[in-house]
Amino acid sequence: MLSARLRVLLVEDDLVTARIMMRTLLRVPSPSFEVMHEGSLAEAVGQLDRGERFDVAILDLNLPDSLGIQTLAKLQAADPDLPIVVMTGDSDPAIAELALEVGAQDYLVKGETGENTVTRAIRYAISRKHADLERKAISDRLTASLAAENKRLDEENALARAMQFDLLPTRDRLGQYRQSRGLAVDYFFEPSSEIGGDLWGCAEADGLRTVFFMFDFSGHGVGAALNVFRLHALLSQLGRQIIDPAATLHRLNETLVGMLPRGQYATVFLGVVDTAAATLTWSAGGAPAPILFTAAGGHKTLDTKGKPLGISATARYTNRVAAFPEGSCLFLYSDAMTESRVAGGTMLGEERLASMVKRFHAPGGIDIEGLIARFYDTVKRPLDDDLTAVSIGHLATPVAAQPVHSQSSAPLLLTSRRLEVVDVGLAPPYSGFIEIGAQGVSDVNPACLEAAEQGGLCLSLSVAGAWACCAATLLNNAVSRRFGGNRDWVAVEHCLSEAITNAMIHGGLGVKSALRDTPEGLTEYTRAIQEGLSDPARATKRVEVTVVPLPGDDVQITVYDRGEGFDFAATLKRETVPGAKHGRGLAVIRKVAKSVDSRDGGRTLVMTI
Amino acid sequence: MNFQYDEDASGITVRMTGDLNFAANSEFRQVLARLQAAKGRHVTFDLGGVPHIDSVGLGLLYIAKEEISGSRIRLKSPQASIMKMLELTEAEADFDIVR
Repeated sequence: MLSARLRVLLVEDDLVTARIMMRTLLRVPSPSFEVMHEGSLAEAVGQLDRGERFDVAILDLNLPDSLGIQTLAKLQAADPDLPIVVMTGDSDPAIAELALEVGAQDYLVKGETGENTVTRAIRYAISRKHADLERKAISDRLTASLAAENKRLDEENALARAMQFDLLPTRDRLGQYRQSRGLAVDYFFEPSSEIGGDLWGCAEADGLRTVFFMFDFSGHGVGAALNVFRLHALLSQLGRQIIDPAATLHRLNETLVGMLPRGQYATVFLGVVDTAAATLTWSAGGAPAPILFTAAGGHKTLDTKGKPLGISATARYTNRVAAFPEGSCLFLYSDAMTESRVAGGTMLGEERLASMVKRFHAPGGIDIEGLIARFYDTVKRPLDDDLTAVSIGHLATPVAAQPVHSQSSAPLLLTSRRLEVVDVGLAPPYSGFIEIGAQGVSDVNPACLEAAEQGGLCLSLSVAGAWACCAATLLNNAVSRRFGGNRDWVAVEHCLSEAITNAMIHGGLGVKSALRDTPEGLTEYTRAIQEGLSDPARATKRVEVTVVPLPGDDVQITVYDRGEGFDFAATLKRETVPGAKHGRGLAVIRKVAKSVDSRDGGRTLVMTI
Repeated sequence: MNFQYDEDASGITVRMTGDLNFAANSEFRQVLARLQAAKGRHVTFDLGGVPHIDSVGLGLLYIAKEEISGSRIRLKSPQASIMKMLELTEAEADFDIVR
């Protein structure tokens, strides 16, 4: 509603025009106009600056101190809320149009300023300006509330992301799996910029069974995240009971079909690792095919065919089983790993991923950190999907924690059987292998642990164990793999082989070499060794080896036995008899090693190579 | 440790595969028995398939040498690590080494 009395700011330098306009306005009975006339822009702006308020301005664009369309802009700047009617000459209709475009509410043509025309123009300008202002106020309020809403959504997204991270197994818990379940588990998880639908997790089932799952919900954002929480909650409820993955997927699917909106589903992998039975049993619904590595580095991909969860109430799931012996490793990953683009625009794909993962595989685990670094170097970033990578390695049959082990920060593999995993203990992440003998590990030489702490390797076996697994050969391979460098590998090989053989045969079994001088003696010698190996008192004596890299390219190899010892100095002095059939071992060591020395009455041999 | 024998009028060649070490001595006795039967002929040990030898294994070669009393034994195609052992123990004086 217009008020009955309107204040008009008339800005016009031509006095005749101004006077005609004033007279016209004053003749209008209703509304009544109160007119303030100014002859220049500066004076008009001066009025506004002094705080004078007008209901409308009638503005001539060509004034002594301002010409053209910028006159309008300057007056608008002085009072943005002021409705403005522009006066133009009839010579230039284009300028009137332009004035309307840049914010004047109406225009009058000089000479066509009858009462009705002017009154209508003023009324229209005022109501249009009010409408504009109102629209602007509404849009400002909307913008502000949208910004607030966006901020709230961002905060909620951040919270949901944090909660999603909270669902992941803690590093502490996974660390305990080493001891309690013989599993080395490591992982990398990074959601894409939005919160996504990926999750992996694990649960302890009965006995030595451990459940691992990974799923990926369709879509992104809060909806997908909510589904992640739903499924995680369902799986956590089942937790310990999961020993039949297919039956579990069947139940989960039934629940999710009723729960999920149409078109939402989850690909899933659910596996149960049984460390006692050395098996992996799994069931799946269209998840990326995990890679199963053998200790020796061979690999195959697991069959994960099956309907994703939540699609069909009649979906059927099947169990599949694979051997998962000590040294095996299972690699789980999300589809971001295979579907990310490499240079050239093609997707990385399963085969290229498998050969990339293989490079970071060692018996019992995958170097996830190294793998992810390589992956990020290879693919285009940022990724548009969540990235998950999990390595599950079967280390060894779990044993009760031993005090001797818990003090060591360099992990050692302890096992009471299965000498075929000696190799696993000699490869990273382990720093050595310790056989649990008749006295547990209480009789292990502390030097073994010290060597591991110093970044070296150690091996502590019974004589029978060392004999059965060809300890010298295994160690020789492990040493060259682990320490590398420009070392004298032939010398290392000979020193390990001679010293370990001496420690087993003389130190451990107490068999004398002199027997080997004749063929009959050789028979006797062989019989004596067999007898020693079947005599528990001798066969269980420890033979221990430490290998510690020294500054430069040297290594120190120390071999310990539990025999009667021997006169090192005298043996070293004795010249080998030409053509002799024994007595060369120490001579060989003396020739290839930089130094050789003996301690503990000949029971410890220290060699620098 | 595996042994294969090639025999002709001029002599006998024993082709070995596997490590010739502390664990080989029981199997080696069959080689000795075979050499007994071939006494007086040239004996060649083909070491091309032997990745590693230790001093016990070398001792076995010396026992063989003594068993065939007198005639020299030829060691054929030793790998690098074995050649090193033969050099270290100055076995060239006692055996004919053919690379």
